[in-house]
Order: sequence, then C-alpha cells, then structure tokens
Amino acid sequence: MSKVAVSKNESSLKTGLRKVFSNLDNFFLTPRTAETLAILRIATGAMLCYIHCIWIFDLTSFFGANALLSLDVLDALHAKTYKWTYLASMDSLAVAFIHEILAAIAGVLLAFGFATRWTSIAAWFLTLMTVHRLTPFLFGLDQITLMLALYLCIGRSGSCWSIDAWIGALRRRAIKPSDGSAAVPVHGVILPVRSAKFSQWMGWDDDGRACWSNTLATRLVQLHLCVIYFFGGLGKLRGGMWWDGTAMWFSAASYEYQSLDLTWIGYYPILGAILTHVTLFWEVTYFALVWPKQTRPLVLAMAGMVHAGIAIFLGMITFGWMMIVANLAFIEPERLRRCVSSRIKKPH
Amino acid sequence: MAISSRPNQDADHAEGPGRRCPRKIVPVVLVLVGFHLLAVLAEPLHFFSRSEVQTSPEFAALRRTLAPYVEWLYLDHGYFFFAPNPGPSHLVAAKLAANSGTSTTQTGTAEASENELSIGEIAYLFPDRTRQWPRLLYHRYFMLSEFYNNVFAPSELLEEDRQDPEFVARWTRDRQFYSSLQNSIANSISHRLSESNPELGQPQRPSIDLIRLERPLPSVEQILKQGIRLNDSRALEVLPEAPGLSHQAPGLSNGLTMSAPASIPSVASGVSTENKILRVPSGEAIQPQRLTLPPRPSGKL
Repeated sequence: MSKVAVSKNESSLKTGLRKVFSNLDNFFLTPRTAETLAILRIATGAMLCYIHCIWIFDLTSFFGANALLSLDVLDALHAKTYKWTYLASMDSLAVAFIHEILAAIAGVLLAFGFATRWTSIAAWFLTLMTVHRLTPFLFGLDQITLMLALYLCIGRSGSCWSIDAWIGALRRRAIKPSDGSAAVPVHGVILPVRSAKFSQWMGWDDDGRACWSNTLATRLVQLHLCVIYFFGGLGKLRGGMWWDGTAMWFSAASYEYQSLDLTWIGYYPILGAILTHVTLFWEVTYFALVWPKQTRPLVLAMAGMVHAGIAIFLGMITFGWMMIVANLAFIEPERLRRCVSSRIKKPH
Repeated sequence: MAISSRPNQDADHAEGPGRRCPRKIVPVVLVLVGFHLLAVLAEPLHFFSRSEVQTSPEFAALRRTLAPYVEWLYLDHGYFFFAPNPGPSHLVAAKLAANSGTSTTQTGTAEASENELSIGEIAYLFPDRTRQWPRLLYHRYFMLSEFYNNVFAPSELLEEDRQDPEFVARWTRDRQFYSSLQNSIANSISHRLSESNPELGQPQRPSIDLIRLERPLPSVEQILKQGIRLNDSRALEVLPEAPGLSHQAPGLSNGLTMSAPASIPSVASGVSTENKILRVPSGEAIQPQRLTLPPRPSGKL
C-alpha cells in the first residue's frame, strides 16, 4: 500500500474516532438543567426514608442477636464476594437503630434537597450498607432505588426545587459584592451562609444553570433502565407462558402477590393474551423505542400503565411507583419545568 | 439508536450553554462511564450466558474481573422479573417441636384460648399479610421465604448421587448453608414466640421446626369454574426436606388439610445461584398431611 493511501486511511480513522468521541461527548456531557433529576431526587429520597422506616419498624427481626438472618449466615452468604458492610461486623441493635435512623433522615434531607451534594452520598451509602446486611430480603424496589440514589450523587439535583436552591436564592439577594459573604435573615434566623466557601461546600452557590453532570446522571439512569428492561424482556422470552399468553393470568392468580383481584381476566383469555404479548413486546423493545421522539411518549405511557398495574394489582406499590419515577428520566427538564410552573400558577 | 449528536438540537438539550465538562477530563469521564456501563451489563450477561454445560467464558471472565465493583455497588442483578415464567409462591411455616416443653393444649377445644399454642402446631407463618404489615414489610418476608426455598438442599442424597465426589462436596456446602439459615430463622421466631407467649419461654425457648410450603399457580378452571379461592390453604403443598421423607404429621385438629405434592420439584429449575444444580428425584410419594393454621395475629406477633 502506498504512503498516501496509508495516510488517507489514518486520517479517515482519526476523523471517524473524533466524530465518535464528539457524539459521546454530546450525548453524555451536554449541559442540562436539573428539573428531571429534582423529581427523581424527591421521589427517591422519600422512598429511601420509607424503606428505612420499615426496617426500623421490625428492627429486631432484621438486626441484632435474634435477627432472622444471623451474622454467621450472612458471612457464609457473602463469602468470596465483595459485599462489605460494617453492619456485618456487629450485631448491636443500638448501632443498627442509629444507622437506620440516620439513613431515614438522609432520605428526608435528600427529598427536600438540603445540602444535597452530601445528603445524596449519605443516603446512598447508608442504604448500600443496609442492603449488604439484608440481602435475602431485597427485591426490585431496592435495585431501582439504590440505582437512582447512586446516579443522584453525580448530578446537581439540588439546584432546583430544593432547600439548597431556596437558600442559594436568598444568599444571592443578600450578597455583598465586596467580599462575597452574606448574612441571610429568614424569619429572624440568620442562616449560616456568611462564608462563600461554606456556601460552595454546601452547594448553595448553585444558580441552577445547566450543568454537564446533570446530563451524565440522567443518561446513566436512562441507559441503566434500558439494560433492566432489555434483560427483563429476554428473561421472559425464555418462558413458555409469555409466548402462549397465559403469563398475565398466572401473575394475577398468584395469591402472595395479589393486592386487588385481577382474576376476572380469566374470563377474557384473549385480553389476557394480548396484555401478555404487548407487555413482552414493550419490554424487549424499550431500549430501542424509547429514544426516538416519535415513539418515546408511547413507550413511556406503556411503562406507566404496566408499572401502575404492578403497583395496584400485584401488591408492589413501592416498586411500581419507583419504576414510574425512573421512567421520568426520559422527560426533558424543560417540559417538566413548564408542567410544574403551569400547575403552580394555575388559580384554584 | 436515534441519538442526537448535536447539542441544542434535541429537546433534551434545550437549555443552551451552561457548565461544560472541562475539556481535559472529558476522555477520563467517558472512560469511567464506559467502565460503569460494562459493569452494569456484566451480571445480566453472565446470568444469561449460563447453561447446564458452562457459562460463556468471556462473560464469566468479565464478571470475575469486575466483581469488586459490581458486587459492592449492588449491580449484580439478572433482572429476572416474573421470568422466565410466573412461578409458584413459597411460604415458611414454623411448627412448635415436641421438645419445646410447652403445654399440650388441644387447639380447637372450648378450653383452649385463641392464642394458646400447642406442640406440633404452626405457630408462625411467613409471608402472611395479616401479620406482616405494611405491605413493604410483608414483601420483605416474602423475599426471605423465596430465598429460603431457593437455597434448599435436601438432607440426604440418593445413592447414585453419592458416587459423584464433586456433587457431594457441593451438596455438603449447600446443605451447611441451608441448615445454618434454617437455624437462624428458627431461633429468631423462637425468640419472638417466647417474648409474646412468656409461658412458652419456660424453662427455655421453644424449639421450632421450619416447613417449606408451596402454593402452586391455579388454573383458570380451578378459580373461575370450581370457585376455589386464591387463598385457599388446601392448595398449599408441604415440600419435603429429603427424598422419600415426609414431615411428621403435626397433630390432628380442626385445621385444614394440606395436600402433599404429587412430585418433588427439581431444585435446578428455580435456582438462580451459580452452580446450584442439586438434583432431587421426582416421583417420591409423600403422605397427605394435616396442618393447623397459625392463630390470627395478636400482640407482637
């Protein structure tokens, strides 16, 4: 091959790589505002709080010397794995109680968006520690909630619809241009936002501008969801009931799952089969059809219906709800902002 | 995938200029993103590429390499929701063992109080939506009962299985784990029972036997034509601990009869744990048993 041909090939390869790099950069890192993440933050924080409240509610069954899953069993279960948690090294009920209380508080603070930069990490980490202690009790809810909590640590979800944003706005109003410090009296209380450094550390300097980390966090949620649905769909493709159309009936007829009676669907076998196949088709094709704008609304509407059905009929209100919330990651921040502000402005 | 590659053309990017990622760290961020997404994919790929012959070597290697990251971040999921098929549910019943040192009150008699427990009686059941509430708590117990059933390893092996040393070693390991889980759950329930029924705790905590129960999925015919209710406890089947063994009948009472399974289900069919291919022979006849349902919840239980 001549030198010219080689250099031509090299340059076209370089151009191609540069294009791929540029596309990836744009896809993952083009700045966006935080409305979508803020919605995810509120729901995830509230759910994390609820999850930890439930652990506390029956604390002695899950932690302590008389726990259903003793530390010996946990050690054997996690042998040769990297599922480390400090809760596995002690069976003190007091420590577990304090841990769970702190986790629930972190969830509340995350939902309200107070010091979000730190509370998101705290809520995720404390929940992760619990998850590694209580592995056999977990299900899809924990997977999806922890996944959202992880990605919320990346974005600036506290930069809108949060206490952080509110404090930031107050601070900006009261700021002294000379030294960048501010004292903000709110209902007679001076908020500790004097130091610009402290405000920055707490994330109160965020003016709500679009940021690349918001896009990165949102993209990771979106792609993770695609993986979940794709493999969820592939798993179903292996089962005969999802092909012969009886899966909907057998899901409805599982007493341990049932929360509302759906067995009437047995009177309409065609309806049951159609619902089975539509669910399967939607799940398998989600990863492809959720991206084009033409099909996205349909795919998201379908997600809403499927998960609402799971929440209402199959007794997994928490899981169904969190899956619906996770799907909101595909709604543009701009649209969410318009939607929320129009609701706030609407006269009652 | 129709992904807009140009900024501000997709509605997602309608916000215009903002804080951009510093140019110098963009490649680092993209490499980290790639690594993370690979980790997200590692477990499902590993899970799906498993057969009775082998696990696909490249996905096994990928999963092994990323194990610290995948496992600690709790990314090790196969995402098998209601897959491959909706299956039967499993419950766990705790029966007061004969060496509990408790009273031998006959339940169902006029003298027996509602919450009095007697030897051989089912003292606790999970999941049970009347006892475990709110729904999320119920679901936690439900997951434990499914886990308990998934890790089941029979108490004995058939003669032909004993010839395979590798199989026996695996069975020994699995049986040890199953037994320790069984003890852990039994101890916890025993503690509860002695707390809520102080007379049971004298002179020592009651001894508990755990029974695995299965509720098979009913057909349309059974529910809509025969009028059988989904929660009919007659549908519950007692799963045996070993081939050819049946549970000791827990005493006749006015409890409902539970039919025994026609065949012992193969463990391999429902277990997702790697290498869990313990075979339980099918076709062993189990004698029908009668179980007394646990009393309605009162107080702490």
